[in-house]
Amino acid sequence: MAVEWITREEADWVGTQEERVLIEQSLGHYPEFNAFLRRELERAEGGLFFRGASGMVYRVGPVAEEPGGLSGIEICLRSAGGDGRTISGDGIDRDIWAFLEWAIQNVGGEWTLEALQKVGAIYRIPGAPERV
Amino acid sequence: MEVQGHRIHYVDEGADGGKPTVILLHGNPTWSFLYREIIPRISHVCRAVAPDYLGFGLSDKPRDERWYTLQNHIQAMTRFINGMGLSRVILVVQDWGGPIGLSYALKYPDKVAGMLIMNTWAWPEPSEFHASVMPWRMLHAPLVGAHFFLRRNALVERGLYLSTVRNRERLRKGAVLNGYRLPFSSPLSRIGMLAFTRNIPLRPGDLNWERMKGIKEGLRALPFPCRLLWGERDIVFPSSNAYLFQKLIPDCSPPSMIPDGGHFIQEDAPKEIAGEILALLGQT
Repeated sequence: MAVEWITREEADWVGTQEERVLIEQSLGHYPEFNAFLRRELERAEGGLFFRGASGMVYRVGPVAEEPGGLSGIEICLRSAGGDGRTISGDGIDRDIWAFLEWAIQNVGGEWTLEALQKVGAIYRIPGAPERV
Repeated sequence: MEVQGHRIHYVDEGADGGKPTVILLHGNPTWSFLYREIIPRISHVCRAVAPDYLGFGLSDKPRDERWYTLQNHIQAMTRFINGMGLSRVILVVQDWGGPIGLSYALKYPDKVAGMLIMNTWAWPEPSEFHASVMPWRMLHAPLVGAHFFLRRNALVERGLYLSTVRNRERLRKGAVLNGYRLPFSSPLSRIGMLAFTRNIPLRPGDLNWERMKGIKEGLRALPFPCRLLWGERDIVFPSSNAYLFQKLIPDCSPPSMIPDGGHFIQEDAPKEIAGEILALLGQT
């Protein structure tokens, strides 16, 4: 499952209402994650946008910044708002899973896609392979 | 009881019949519910109190992950136990209850009449399970942990089942699993659960390395009797931990091993645990 990166303009086209679907308050305990996400956000000038396999669009951005790095990251679902759509929790979970696979593969080192997939299979996370 | 501006929920059964009050401390991701089959087996002879840590059970849940340090948990529980106005206690500990309860015992050894220590640890060196990327460190890695713990409640939904043996089927679905789900109905309610995982030290310099070192050093001076009960099929804390406790603590019985017991030993062996507590009460 790949992550489809889109531009801010493409994301704005979907809508600018946001609903936070994931928050990571603490990037500090593994600095390699902090360093990786800070690089990606700097490259994207503060906002990463992706479209998941569900078709839903998300923004990945900092929760707050501290001297020396990010303190936290949030993933927010984008919509036009008020369109009466029922947002599928399972769809969101699968989209987040794809994002996690991308992140782990790019953090690298001891953090491997295989390990993520195995843990996902053990804990039966939507999007994770059933067996690895 | 209100402690540091937050409310702590606790179960309080039985009566003070001249015996020490038994304080039952849980771990991650459980709450006082963990002791539901043990309390009725001991409360005819003693007062039994089972608090929920802040962020767990029916206690208040601070929403900032930074609140959830081992130091803050120790401080809150110390204020709780002292706030109960008890002259002597027996501490029953498992998982994070170990470091929290032992920290109290080291600071107030004269108040502690005895301890029952189960499936826990009290030193800075991580277990093989805690040190491994797969599954433990990946489970609570940045972003991954937020998804697995906060969105998916994975440690409750699947982790309890995986870490129980004799009675594991009731952790797969049904009333008992629902009891563990009850306090964690929303993503933000689960922050304490995730934060605990990130308080486990892995190497010198990590948060809590020195604190755990201090606890280990203090074990040699514990002046009260200790008993040990251990689920032998615990994938988190092996049986060797039990024997290390026995070696370090001066007045400590050989461990009572439960061959079909896992990490959440209270689910697997409540009758045996109650037996150990009654034996300890008989010694005090």
